[in-house]
Amino acid sequence: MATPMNAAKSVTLRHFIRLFAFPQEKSKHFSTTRLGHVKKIEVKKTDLVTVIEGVKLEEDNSKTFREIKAPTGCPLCEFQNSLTYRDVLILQQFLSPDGKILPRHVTGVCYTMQWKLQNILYQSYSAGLLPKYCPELPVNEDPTHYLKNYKWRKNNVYYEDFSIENPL
Amino acid sequence: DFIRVNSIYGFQNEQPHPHYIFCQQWAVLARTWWIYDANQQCPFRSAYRLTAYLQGLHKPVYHRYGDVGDHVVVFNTRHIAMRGEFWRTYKHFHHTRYAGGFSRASAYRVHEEDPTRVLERACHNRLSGLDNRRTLMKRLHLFPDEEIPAEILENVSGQIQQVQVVPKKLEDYSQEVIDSFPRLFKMPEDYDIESYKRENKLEPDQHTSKAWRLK
Repeated sequence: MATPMNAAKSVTLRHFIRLFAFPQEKSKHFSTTRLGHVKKIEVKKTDLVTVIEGVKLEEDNSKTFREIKAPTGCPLCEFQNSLTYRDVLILQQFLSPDGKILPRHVTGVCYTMQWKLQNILYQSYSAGLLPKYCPELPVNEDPTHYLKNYKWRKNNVYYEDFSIENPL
Repeated sequence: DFIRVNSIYGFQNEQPHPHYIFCQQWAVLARTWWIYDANQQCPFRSAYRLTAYLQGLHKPVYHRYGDVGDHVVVFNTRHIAMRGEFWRTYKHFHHTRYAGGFSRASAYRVHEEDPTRVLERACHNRLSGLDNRRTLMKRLHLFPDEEIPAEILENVSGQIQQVQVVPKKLEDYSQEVIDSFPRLFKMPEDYDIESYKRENKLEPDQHTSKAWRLK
């Protein structure tokens, strides 16, 4: 006979076991290619019918991927102290074709490294190494003041990196 | 067969040939000409090195009044680099010693009118306290671009190493290198490549308020 107190305890135990002993199972399908594809939306219009379709894009197997070594799942956590404004090949991957930073839910970057990425991208832009970067400015700022032809932005600029590899 | 050599490490009483002694004297007290590339270099850090060669601190026969300094030729001073916001905030002061004759200007304004003055002032300030500062500054030759007169280039016999690493731009890398560089992250599943064109109301920039977002 389960009293109210005993019933509550048994429910919590079962709930506990279900969460931690049997965690959420990931898909166990066996396949060599990815099931979820990167997609591009295409719109086809005729007189009567418009078709909006998400077309799957084929993967580029020529690109090599680097394993994420940090336990947080962030691709940049291992470079916390060694990422500088001169590492243009890495920074270029986190930009969209528009010139804006990709959001965190797409790249998987943690909050601290996303915050540092913004500062480092602005540094490489002002140094002239990465002309593609054009972020959204606050409402009160004039975008012409941030172009590379503006008064003092014509001249070269360097920044100090207090990284472990170059300890001054 | 023995080869007769006039060397210092010969017999105890043997002296070297006087021609050798003259050449040794001239080599020690000669005034050499050095060249320096100031492209993407800090003016204050490069002044630290250039003034050492101007004074003669790189020689073991150094003395302040010994006139043992060398000439230094600097080119590409127009492409000099300052740290952070220093082009805007670092000011050069000038007073004409008349009433109301005080003026100041930011470094970028001075650089527009005379692209060599920023480095010149940096070296001038570094040599403060010396009696022979004016003679040392006369031996500093500054050129904004790579055009140097032939009379000066003939005398140059050595190069001073650059202080800072010259960074590489994205345009300098070839397309093959950019493509072959490994990717750090994979795009998530079912990701729309052209989503950046559309408004993202879930993650807008920090400066918009919630009321404006939900219009």
